Formats: sequence, C-alpha cells, structure tokens
Amino acid sequence: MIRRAWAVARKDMLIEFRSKVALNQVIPFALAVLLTFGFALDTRDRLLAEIAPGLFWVVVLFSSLYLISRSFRVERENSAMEGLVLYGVDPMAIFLGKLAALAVQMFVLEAVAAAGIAVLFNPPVGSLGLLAISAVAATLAIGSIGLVYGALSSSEHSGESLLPLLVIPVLAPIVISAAKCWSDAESAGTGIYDPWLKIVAIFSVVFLAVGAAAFGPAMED
Amino acid sequence: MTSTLLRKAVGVTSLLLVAATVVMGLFVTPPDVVQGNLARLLYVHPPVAWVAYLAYGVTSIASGLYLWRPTRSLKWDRIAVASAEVGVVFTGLTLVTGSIWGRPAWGVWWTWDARLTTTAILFVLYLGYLALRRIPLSPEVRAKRSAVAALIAFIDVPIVHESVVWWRTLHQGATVATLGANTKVHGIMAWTLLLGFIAFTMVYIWMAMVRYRVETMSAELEATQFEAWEAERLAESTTGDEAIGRLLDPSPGVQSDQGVARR
Repeated sequence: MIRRAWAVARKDMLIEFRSKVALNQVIPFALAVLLTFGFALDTRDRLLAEIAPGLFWVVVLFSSLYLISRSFRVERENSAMEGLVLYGVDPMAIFLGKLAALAVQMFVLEAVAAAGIAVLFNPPVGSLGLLAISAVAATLAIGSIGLVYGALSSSEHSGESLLPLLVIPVLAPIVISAAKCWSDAESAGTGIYDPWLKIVAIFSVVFLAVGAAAFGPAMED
Repeated sequence: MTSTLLRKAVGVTSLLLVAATVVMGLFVTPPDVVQGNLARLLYVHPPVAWVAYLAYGVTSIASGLYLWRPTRSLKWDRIAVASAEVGVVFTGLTLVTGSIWGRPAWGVWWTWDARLTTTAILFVLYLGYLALRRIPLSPEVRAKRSAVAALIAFIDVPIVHESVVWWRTLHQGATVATLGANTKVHGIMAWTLLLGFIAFTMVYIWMAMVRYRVETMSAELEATQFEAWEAERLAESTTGDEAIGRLLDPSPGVQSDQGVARR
C-alpha cells in the first residue's frame, strides 16, 4: 500500500512540477492576500504583528482550498479517479498519496506565506519549533478534511465553489488552535510544551482518522 | 391515506400546542423577578434550540443507517434531508431568538461564548450539507455523499464546542452565559416551558413529515417524468421508419436548407 500511495503522491507532484499551478497561481495569490490585509487593516505595525498568526492561518486555509480543488480537478480529467479505482488501488493508498502531495505543496505555501508575514508585518518570533510542529499538524488536518470534501463535492457542476463552504466550518477548531499556537510562539513562553500544541495535535489525529475513514466511501460512487 | 390523516393530525395538534404556549407564555405566566417580560423568551428559545439538536440527531442516525449496508435505503436519505432542513430553520431561529434575548440581557447581539459560536458553526455546517445535496447527481451517489458529510458534521460538533471552550477559557475568565436563565424555573413557568418543548417538538415532527412527503413526491415525479420522456422517444421511433430513414439519409429539403444556411 505504501508503494501505491507513493505512486499516487509522485504522480500528483509530477503534475504540479510540470504545470506549476501551485507555484504560479496559488502562492502568488497568498502573497496578494497578505498585501491586501496590510491595506485593509492599515499599516499600524503593532496591530499587524499582533494579529499575524490569525492572518497566516486564514491565508493558508483559503489558499489551500485552491490546492485541494486542483488536486481533484486533475483526477476528473479523463475520469482519472475511476481509472485508479478500477485498477484496484486501495482508497487508503489514494488518500495517503494525495495527502502527501498536498501536504508538500502546502508546506511550500506556508513557508512562503510565513516569510511574507515576517517581512511585511514583522512579528516577534519566540519559538520556531512550536511554529513548525503546529504547522505540520494543522497541515495534515486541513489536508485530510479537504480531501474528503474535495471527493464529496467533486462533480461536473458547481462542486468547486461549494468546497470552501463545506471545509471552513469543519476546520474551525484547527484554525482556532493553530492560530493560538502561533500566537504563543510569538513570545518565547513555553516553547514546544505549549498547551495549544497538544490541542492541535489531538485535533490533527482526529481529523486524519476521520479523513482516512471517510475518503473511501466519499470517493467510490 | 392514513399517513395523510396522521400528518394532518400532527399538524393540527402542533398548531394547537403552539397556540397554547403563546397564551401561557404571554398572558398566564407572571413576569420574571430578574428579567421581567424578557424572561418569556424562555418558552421559545430553549425549545427551539432543542429541536435543532434533535433534528441533527435524527439526520445523523438516518445517514448512518443509509451508509450501513443492511439498512441501506433511500428512505433514510429522505429522512436525513427532511430533518436537516428543519434543523437549519430551527438553528436560524435559535440564533435569532438568542440575539434578541442577548441584546437587552447582556447588552450585545452577539458574544463569542462557546455555545453561541458552536451554534453558529453548526448553522453553517448544515447549510453546507444542504448545498452539497444540490449538486446534480444520481440519487444513490448523492445519498451516499451527503450521508458521509452529515456524519462528519456530527463528529465535528463536539470538537468545535471543545475548541471554542478552550479558546475562550484559556484566554479569559468566565463568559456572560451564566446570567438570568440559571435562576430556578418553577411552578407555572416550568410547566409552560415543558409545554413549549412539546409544542416545538410536534412542530418539528410535522414539518419533517411534510418535508419527507415532498421529497418522496419529487423523487416520484422525477421517475414518472423520466418514464414519460422515454415513452415519447420510443413513440417517435416506432411511428416512423421514415424518422430513422431521415436520420440515415437526409432528405432533399434538409439538404437545401443546409445549402441556404451555408450561403
């Protein structure tokens, strides 16, 4: 199964490597949103630095929706997903493979967005470890819930505009806890022993499990 | 026929019960010591919120029964959607009546209290569920996908609630939610509250029954329409060998038309 998951992940990464949709469209979009926050919220440095953690996760969540849509658009062309199912690929392998590819793209997105925030809003950074670990956990949660809803709303008609409505409320706990983690990481504080990190980790495990369990039924029609 | 009769009986009963709640709530019960007439919202707001939770509970059970193969039947899907729609209406009502109560009692329309925030997310979650059902798909595929979505929403609600509780409590002290309503309710007020619960539960049952009926009828209509179209096409093809002939070998008239069009 690992081998098949790897094949799916490799396929998705290869598509991205050749088409560069994430690189040329989604990441610039994230940067544009960061600039817009700057305009909309005025350029009072203190304020922007204070709310930077929340802004970061909003930007990441919204931009990820494009990556998730994209991840299913490539499967819809030529009914590629049906092909995978007919080959007898375990839905779990498809899930893990797509999650891996999505997570890699999201990590790049997050790194760029974080760099953008660091430069534009100049927030203090107390604990890089806390930032990184909570980002990994939150990314897996966003990715797995996103994939399930991507499969659920995948259709010829109007599915893509529906995805945000479905995903955003479900992921409210992740946005809350990840933003709190990042807030705490601004001050040195407790470092990676932050209580919110535990909460992010627990939610992440729950959402991964829900995603893995629901992806099969959501995908096979 | 009996089901129609039952539905009407439930409808009339729920109407009478709501009317009784209105009379009891507005005229018979005394105003509250602390909140005055404002406390009369007690007979509406908690029952409405209870119905919302009840409706989502029913949706979740029906969705689970649809996903479980031995009980798989589109009947469960119809129950799920009927209940979810009523649930969304009642969640909306919960938010509205809560806001109306909150404004004079707390001084704000909205506060980021755990229960309020969870209810708001619940509202959006199930709006998404209903929107998901609008994607044109075959009934079976739609039923399956929406059942998965309903169950994820059901699992998500306690997680959202916990996260919001932590969000507030790890951040600041107790919130305002412990006001007013916690004073003991007794006597005629308690009976009216109970009446309110029964009345709105009956309203829910009635609305869900009607909605279920509508869902069944639209499924039937779709099926008969499909049959009608099928019959039409079959009729066309049997009446005319020439119809087939025309398709295979275009007549001179058609050709000249095309000629005109080309020019």
